[in-house]
Amino acid sequence: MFFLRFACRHFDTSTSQSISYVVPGRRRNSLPAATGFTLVELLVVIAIIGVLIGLLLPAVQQAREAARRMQCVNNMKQIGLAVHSFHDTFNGLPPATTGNTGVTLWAVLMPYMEQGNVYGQLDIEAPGGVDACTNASHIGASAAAAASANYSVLRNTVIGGYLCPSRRSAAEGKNSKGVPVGDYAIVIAGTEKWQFWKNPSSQLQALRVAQTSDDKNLIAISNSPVTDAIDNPNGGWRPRDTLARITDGTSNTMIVGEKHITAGFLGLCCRADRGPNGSDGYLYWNRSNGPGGYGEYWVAGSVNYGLARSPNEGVGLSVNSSPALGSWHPGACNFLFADGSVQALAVNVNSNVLISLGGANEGNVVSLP
Amino acid sequence: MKSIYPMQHSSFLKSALRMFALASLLACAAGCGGSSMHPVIGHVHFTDGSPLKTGRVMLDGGDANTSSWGLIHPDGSFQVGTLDVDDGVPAGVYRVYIENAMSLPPDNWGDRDFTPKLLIHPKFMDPEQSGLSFEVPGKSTPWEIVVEKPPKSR
Repeated sequence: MFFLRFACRHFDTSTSQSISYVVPGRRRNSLPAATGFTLVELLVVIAIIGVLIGLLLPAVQQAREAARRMQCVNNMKQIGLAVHSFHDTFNGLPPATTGNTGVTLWAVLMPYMEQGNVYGQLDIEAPGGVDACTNASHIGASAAAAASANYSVLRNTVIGGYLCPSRRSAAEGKNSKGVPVGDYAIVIAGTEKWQFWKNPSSQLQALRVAQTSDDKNLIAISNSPVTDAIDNPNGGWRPRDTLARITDGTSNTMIVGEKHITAGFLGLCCRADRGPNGSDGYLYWNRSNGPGGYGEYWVAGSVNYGLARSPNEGVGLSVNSSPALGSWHPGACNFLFADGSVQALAVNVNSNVLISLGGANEGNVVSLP
Repeated sequence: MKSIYPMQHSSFLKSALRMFALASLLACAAGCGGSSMHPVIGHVHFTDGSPLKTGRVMLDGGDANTSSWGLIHPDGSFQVGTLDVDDGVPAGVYRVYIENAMSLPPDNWGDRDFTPKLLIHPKFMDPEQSGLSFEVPGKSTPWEIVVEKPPKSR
């Protein structure tokens, strides 16, 4: 109040001074006409503008998130097209992984994601990386050399289409170990949440492990010293299933979803036990003993543990007891279905519905409205 | 003359401020007063008092026929949310059951085989047989769920 009074007085004196200076002697006859706006009028206008901006800004932010979600859906749609292109080329669904030590779906789909140049440099039958289990004494010298060559190519291959813009940009597509990460997860509906390459007959989801003539790709290769190598375990792999296996209907079966990453653990990898920072690992390589983590959590997620409702889901819990699927979009998580469509599921979807949608041929047919 | 103008301005400002405050109060009453979510927290333990260390407490039903759940922490505690991890549930009577109460591999288990075991009696996993129900709101203290160990096979 004092400030206002002071301001008005100041205004008056300055006006009278300026008038008396320009037209001396007329001060008494003409009123000091209010040629400008008063301070209060200006304040009111500024306040109105402020309120309008305050109303508008959240709407702008929501529009930006809606655009990012749309781009995220589009990425999944492209993955769906890639899966169908693969099916047309090889007469079978792309594998979730080529084997225990093999590369994942995300490397197999590269030629159909406009990454043919990278794919051309790979030996797709070899592992995607090197560790204690993919050296010459375990998988043979030539496969180990090919794995090493694959790793040097793949570790620099960040694909924007595998990242959800609501979560991160392509510039942030590598984790703390310096290897590419992804935001989408292969839907797993088997009873096992980890080691989904093992025992394919127990796996109910659409995308299963690849097939080889001798099933060497299903053998658990452990860290321990071995006497004789399982030579090139994923050599000669081919698709295990066709779309015909999806008897629940391709529109009722999810194949890829959004991977849940607990807030605060984004881009962090990896830990020997199964804390939440195990899930943002290496995108192209399925290996339980990958660069210090657990391969399945990097590339896949089980429907048996529900959907994460917010980025805070799973704080303080093992990844074995918290949801593996979930998005950072508010209230919904997008899923790619086997028919190529992408649909959003509410985060509080009934767990039986989620499990039924994950299974390809278990007989529980659930249609989304 | 000069002393009157500022007074008029300030009284105008005062009334404008008062109107604004009233309007914002009304807007807040309309916007924030509609929340009908009630917090549900609790603890799951066995009859001997030891906590159930993992799993998911499911709440189905209620007035809005929703499905809410809360993850069980290693100390047996849980907090139920519907659209977020801690936003509570709408009012109503809920069927309560427990999912995924399977044993976890110990830390540093490595990539060896692990076969999870069921930790609770299977009846607690069935909403029709669990015998558990929550009426929300109606309780200010944390909920206590007492579960039984699975029956010994043979």
